[in-house]
Amino acid sequence: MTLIKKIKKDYFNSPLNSILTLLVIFLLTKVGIWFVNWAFINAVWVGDSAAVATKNGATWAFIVNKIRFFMFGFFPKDQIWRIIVAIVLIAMSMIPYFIKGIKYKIFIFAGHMLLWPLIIFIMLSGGGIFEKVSTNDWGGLTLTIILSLLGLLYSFPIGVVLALSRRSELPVIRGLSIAYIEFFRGIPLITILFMSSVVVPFFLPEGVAIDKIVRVVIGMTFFQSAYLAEVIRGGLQAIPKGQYEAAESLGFRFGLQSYLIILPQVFKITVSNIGGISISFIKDTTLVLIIGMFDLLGIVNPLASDSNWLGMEPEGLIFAGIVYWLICYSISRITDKAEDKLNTLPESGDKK
Amino acid sequence: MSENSIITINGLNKWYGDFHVLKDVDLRVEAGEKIVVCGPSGSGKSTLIRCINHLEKHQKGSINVLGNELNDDIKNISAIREEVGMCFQSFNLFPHLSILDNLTLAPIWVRKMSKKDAEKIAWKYLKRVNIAEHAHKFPAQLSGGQQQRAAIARSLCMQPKIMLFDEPTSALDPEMVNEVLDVMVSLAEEGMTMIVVTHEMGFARRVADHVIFMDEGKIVERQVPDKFFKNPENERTIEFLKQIHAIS
Ligand SMILES: Nc1ncnc2c1ncn2[C@@H]1O[C@H](COP(=O)(O)OP(=O)(O)OP(=O)(O)O)[C@@H](O)[C@H]1O
Ligand SMILES: [Mg+2]
Repeated sequence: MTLIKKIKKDYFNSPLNSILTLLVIFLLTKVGIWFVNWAFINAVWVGDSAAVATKNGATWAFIVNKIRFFMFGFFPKDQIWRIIVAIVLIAMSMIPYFIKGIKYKIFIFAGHMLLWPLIIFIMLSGGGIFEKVSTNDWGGLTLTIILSLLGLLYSFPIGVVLALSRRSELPVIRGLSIAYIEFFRGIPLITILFMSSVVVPFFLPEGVAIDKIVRVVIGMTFFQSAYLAEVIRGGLQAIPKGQYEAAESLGFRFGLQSYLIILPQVFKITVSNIGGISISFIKDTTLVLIIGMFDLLGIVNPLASDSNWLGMEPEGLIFAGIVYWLICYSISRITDKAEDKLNTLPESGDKK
Repeated sequence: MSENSIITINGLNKWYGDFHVLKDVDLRVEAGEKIVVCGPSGSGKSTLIRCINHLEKHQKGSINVLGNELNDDIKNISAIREEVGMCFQSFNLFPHLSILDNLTLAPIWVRKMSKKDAEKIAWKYLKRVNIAEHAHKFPAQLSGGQQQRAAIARSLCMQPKIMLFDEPTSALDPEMVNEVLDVMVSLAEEGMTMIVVTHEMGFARRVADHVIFMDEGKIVERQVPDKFFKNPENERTIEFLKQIHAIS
């Protein structure tokens, strides 16, 4: 009863609003029905070419057929196990984070900064051990994840250092940090990517070649670290002066004070912002398609140019969109969970 | 410099910008001595004791703590801070750590003690200040009085030779003041060298060897408590004591 009243009050409170409400309901139903028909009822799931397509249905057979390319780009089919192994190795390298009683977790992180690129280089590139696979053949979701993972891995510590430097009492350090942050926040990522792919090679001495992926990761790191620095600085500003004074009066110096007392509290405050900004960094990796890399989004076009599968862009784009959404949504859920966990105190003192 | 003095301050001057906060302050504290500092708001009490562990930097004069001359050398400053505990009006416990972890953090990381030894000391002081049953709680789960006692215990875990207190009870509800003062009294009875900024005149009477009265950045009067409360010499001291109804 009250629900009906509420609906009446909110949506049908004047003739014009009633008409608008009905119109919106009509359009939503229409579009909804059309979409369900297209995506499910008339959709085709199996087939070898665009010939199986129906007029009013999605041809998911395209995705089913090309799923390997969406996931692994143009990586040779018989070498794909190497990507899987790399993923497993990277996942395993995170186990120490969850072991209690490790005193210097920061060294694990530092270890990852060396280890992950090494794993990726050896397993994906070949590293002189396996058959060489050119980075031009890396693509799809694999490339998206590599760029996101490495970008965040490096921009995070650099962002922390920048944020701390920006609050330094030494004018030189503070000035350099401000210059860096404002410079990289002031130019669009796409400009940085162009610079790194076109301009940087031009200035490198002859005979020196830095792989495109490395240049892109470096460019993204510059950009992202500047943004992260600002998020972290916001957190630093929220820490009361008394925390620094208590730490100092116990004999802590800058390094340990930051690591043990200040930064843990900063992460607690900023975890949802960091999650949000990580999501936008991941979405930003799609820009690499402009410099000719085939990440999950960039690979839709070449795949839909297959003469067997002409005109499959909509299906490809929708699929890529769903995968991006799944990734970003999971991160958002994880940071929500992390935030809850960080902000609830244990019920009583009996545990542990 | 007297043989026994463990803090010697000579001709101390400090400015905040143009504002002259401390004016030619001289102070000598002997080992085991308890000094209570009082005075009107803004007279520089906090600034003075914060200079002793270099939370504030002085511009003129000298401060010698435990034989170390305070200068800008960060190593020297840290060395002094390890021996000088400090308690604040606002407790300043680390909110992201349990009480036990608050207590063991500095012993482990600054003193490089093993976790086991640090926890042993921590438990000893947790019992001393009567909050052992709250060891695994977080600061936000404790009352103000409990938090301040935890903060005192945290300082004691570094086994300091000197303890500085900056109005440790003035942020507390009245019914919690005594539980904190009791801890401080027992600490005093054990012979700790203490400099306490407080307006708890009962505490001063009971514990202090000397009471110092500060006004406008100067030490105006220094007396044994009996004389300080019965017949202070300085006009402004009398005025101040009247205001807080402590004159007898
Ligand atoms: N960081 C600062 N910058 C500028 N002025 C300051 C600063 N800290 C303190 N002051 C000023 O110095 C004077 C002395 O301050 P201090 O905190 O030492 O006083 P206090 O005697 O402890 O007073 P209270 O009883 O209110 O704590 C005050 O006038 C205060 O406004
Ligand atoms: Mg004060």
